Amino acid sequence: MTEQESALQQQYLTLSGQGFKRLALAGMAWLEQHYQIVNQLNVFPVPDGDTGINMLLTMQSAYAEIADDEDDHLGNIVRKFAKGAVNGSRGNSGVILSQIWRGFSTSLRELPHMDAAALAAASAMGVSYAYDAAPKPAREGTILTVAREASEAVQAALQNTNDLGALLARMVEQAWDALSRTPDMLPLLKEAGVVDSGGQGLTYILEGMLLHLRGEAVETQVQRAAVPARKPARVMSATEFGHPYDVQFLLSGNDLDEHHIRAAITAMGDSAIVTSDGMKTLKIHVHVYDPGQPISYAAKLGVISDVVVENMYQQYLDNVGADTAAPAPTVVLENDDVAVVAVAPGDGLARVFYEQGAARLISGGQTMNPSTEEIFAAIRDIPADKVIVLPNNANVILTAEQAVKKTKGKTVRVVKSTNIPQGISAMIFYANARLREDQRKDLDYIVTGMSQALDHVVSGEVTTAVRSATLNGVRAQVGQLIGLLDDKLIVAGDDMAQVMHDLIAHLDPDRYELVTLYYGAEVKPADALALAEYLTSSYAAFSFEVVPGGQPHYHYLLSAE
Amino acid sequence: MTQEAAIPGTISIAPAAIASVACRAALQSYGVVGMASPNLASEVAAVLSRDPNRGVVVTQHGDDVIIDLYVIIEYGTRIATVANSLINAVRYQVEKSTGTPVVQVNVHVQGLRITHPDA
Repeated sequence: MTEQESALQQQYLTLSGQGFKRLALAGMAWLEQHYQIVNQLNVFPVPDGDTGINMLLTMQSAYAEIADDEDDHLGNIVRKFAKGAVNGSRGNSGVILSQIWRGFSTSLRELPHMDAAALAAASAMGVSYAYDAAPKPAREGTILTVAREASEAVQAALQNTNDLGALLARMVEQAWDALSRTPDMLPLLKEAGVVDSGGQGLTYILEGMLLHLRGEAVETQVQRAAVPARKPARVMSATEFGHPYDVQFLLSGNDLDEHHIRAAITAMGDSAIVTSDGMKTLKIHVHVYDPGQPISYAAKLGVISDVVVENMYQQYLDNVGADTAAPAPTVVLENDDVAVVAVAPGDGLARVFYEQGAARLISGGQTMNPSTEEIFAAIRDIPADKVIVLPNNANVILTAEQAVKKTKGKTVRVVKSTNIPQGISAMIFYANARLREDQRKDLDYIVTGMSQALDHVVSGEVTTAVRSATLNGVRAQVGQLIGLLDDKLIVAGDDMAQVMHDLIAHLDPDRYELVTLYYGAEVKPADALALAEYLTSSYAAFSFEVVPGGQPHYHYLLSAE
Repeated sequence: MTQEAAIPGTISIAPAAIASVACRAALQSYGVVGMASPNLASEVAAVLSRDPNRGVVVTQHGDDVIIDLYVIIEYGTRIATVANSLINAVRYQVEKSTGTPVVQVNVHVQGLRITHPDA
């Protein structure tokens, strides 16, 4: 902000139009810095993960009305701001927010400045407008409750102070307090272990305003909210990669001191695993710079056998390094072919879909759902009259269906894949069907086959818990790793190998044989390979395959077939 | 993994059942202040008969369910946004509680309630 020096009075006894403008910008900027947190809280009334972005877009539309307006008359500025909020309101919480501003502005419309009493009256009117448009009786435990309690706090504090800064501080304090009690009022929130998302958004807006009053800079990073940028695919140097050699062997001997050996091997490199067969043999696995070191060390202690040394950096270059170009379609569509549009996060996953013949990929997934418009445009632009859409996320199915409804002149079907592994399984069916002249143009046949393929795969995810919750009898703390199978929480823990190990234990070895691990943008290829090796040594019934997924948020996606 | 028991049989859900779920969801949707009947004659009939699912018409074509909602919306809200949230809420609740895919939700705004006229 260029005008860091506030035009507000020293004691903040009054607020002018330009003063309100700066507060509004700070509130919006603070929400902008937190909108993804708000998105993740969204479970009510429809869990589509967009409350934060909707509130932010509503605030941006409101602010755009006054951004270039130099009028210092408070009533005029606030009226324009409220009009922008109403016209640009998005989603439920955006509509509620717009009603709060509408009532707020109505109360202030004749005033060139506002003082403490005017703030109290305007807040109360904002709350009253917001409640008036709500279903009766209004459901408590939502943004409405947070707004009401914050406003009531101002009325109460009016007896003690006429400083706008002190009043705003009371509002923010009460907003946080009301917010923390929303789970007690709305059982749906309690079940999910979250506070109300709209209430959280409003609290951030008020808090941003308060921070600005206290002279703390609240920067707006970008003028419009963008989809979070994906990390560019990039080849790691040998130094970044770390220990290149993967060494495994068996060590047999009398009186082997397992603990002592484990300590010595661990000191040599990383991903050290020393397991005993309970008899006289140890299985040793370690990643090192010098493969001779662990072998020479062990050879002095007993007899070594089954030595395997692999250069993982070379494997990494072979697997990943060759594919650093942006993913692109490989499919060549002939006249009357059935084409596929798929939604997936991350370059690696996009590549997997392209390899199986997808004609167009749309970036998106959890917390960054693509718009109807994006899917519609993809369907429209591909040179095929018969199109299948793979949403690959439960939250995207509806959007996909809306895009289909909008499409004219093409036959479009949605195969309702709710996650990436299902989508890939469906794509494999598609790829096989394309090999047959009698099948590749048969939309009904392909849709049926792809839909059936969805059920043949079990999908799993390992990610970091963004909040503490008990689901399905499993207790997960915020920050812990959690493992899910078919969207059900199965395990929680702090150690990746342990979590993955426990997750795989829930797969029925009689039904599945191939487990594919798609590692995310944050995971080093070496770690993914080491994990797969560890799992291979634990579960003989499954074979494990490692694929770079590049997806955000999820450390690993896995599919079992 | 659990395998669902394969006992032969069918489940059918009457349009009236779907309508009551839809009606409930609609009346809890922000900005929707009431339901209205599609036309005046049935409005009178509905008031007299106290139709619990007033303002909701459910049509089934085979497996496809189409829901038409006749609503009154609060003046001063952005109607398109309220209607969109309404569509999402009704579709979500109906699909969640009945498992029946809803192919279309049409919102007919029959009136606005003006609590706060523009200043």
